[in-house]
Amino acid sequence: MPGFFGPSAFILWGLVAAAFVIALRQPGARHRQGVKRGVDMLLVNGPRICVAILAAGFISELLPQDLVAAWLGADTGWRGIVIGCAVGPFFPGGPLVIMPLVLALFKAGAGVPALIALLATASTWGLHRILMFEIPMMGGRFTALRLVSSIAIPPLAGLFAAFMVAAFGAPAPVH
Amino acid sequence: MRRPQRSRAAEAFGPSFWVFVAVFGLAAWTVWELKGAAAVREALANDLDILVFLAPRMIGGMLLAGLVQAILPPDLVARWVGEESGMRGIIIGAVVGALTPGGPMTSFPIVVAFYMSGADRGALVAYLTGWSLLGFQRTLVWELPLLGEEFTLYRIAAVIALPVLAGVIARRIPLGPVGPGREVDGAVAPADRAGRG
Repeated sequence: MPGFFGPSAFILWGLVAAAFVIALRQPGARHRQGVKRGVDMLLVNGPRICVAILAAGFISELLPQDLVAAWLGADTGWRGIVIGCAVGPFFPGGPLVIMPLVLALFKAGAGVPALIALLATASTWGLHRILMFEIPMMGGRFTALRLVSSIAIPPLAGLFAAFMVAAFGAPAPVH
Repeated sequence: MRRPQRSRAAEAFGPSFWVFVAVFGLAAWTVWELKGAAAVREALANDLDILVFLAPRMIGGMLLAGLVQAILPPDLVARWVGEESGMRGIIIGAVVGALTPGGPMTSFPIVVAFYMSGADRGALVAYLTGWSLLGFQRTLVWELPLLGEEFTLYRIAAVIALPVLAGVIARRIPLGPVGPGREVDGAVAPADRAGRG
């Protein structure tokens, strides 16, 4: 496991500091409002995040490694990508659910191209978000237009990832 | 924040929290039955490691999202994008999407505001695709810490051009007027709610 304060934390807290200074210099106590929103988000989501991470750890213990490797493994080629694309839309919730589950699959032996395809469909075709936000707020026609426009994205993402894995080797799980 | 405020505790410990608890309990019990107490202890220790690692990033990510929302109100951002057109509009839509922090409660009110300020369908699709594929907050808070720098780099490289592609395709699809038919005022209200990380 990388250190407690790796590069991602430095970048993030640097951005927090920059945003705070910008907000501070704007009229109307924007910094206080922003920090309050952030703390609200944290309080609302924190408990769920903790339990989601705990659950994902145990789920990764239970995932049948040979099955995950056979269906999504790096050696499955385009088949893993197709399966990743097919299951993505049914992942419920935001990153809170998806990212811990992807980590569980990664540790259980899923290949990088399949996971990248899965994340791409979960992002562009996530049913939960389409039903709860997009159709109510933007209407069915716009939703249909967007879905058709992004139909090629997940397979392309998987394919590009497969090229990169072939050229530069596959990343390994860090946890 | 003019909504009748449901208490934060009620929101934090709502039904979805208990679903997660149930899944966790069930998974932990199954591991115990199948693999024994040692496996449970090991999984717990590993989970705690991840949580400790995630905590500073999670806190930073949420503060950043809150601050960016306070600095850039949706209608201001919408005015920028709405004025642009052509390829420039699509590219700016994708970039602004990637820079939008928070979950759908942040991004969809922005899309509605874009629409109202006259952004074309290519820019709207590029925005939503950029936000969902490349949203910087999700990458910093979740992907980098959980999946690692190398994975994140590969994924970003694989998808970076795709929001623009989706916007270009959207502009070419022959379909009558698209957009929210009605009740747009009601739809903008959730902008003030705390979004999901």
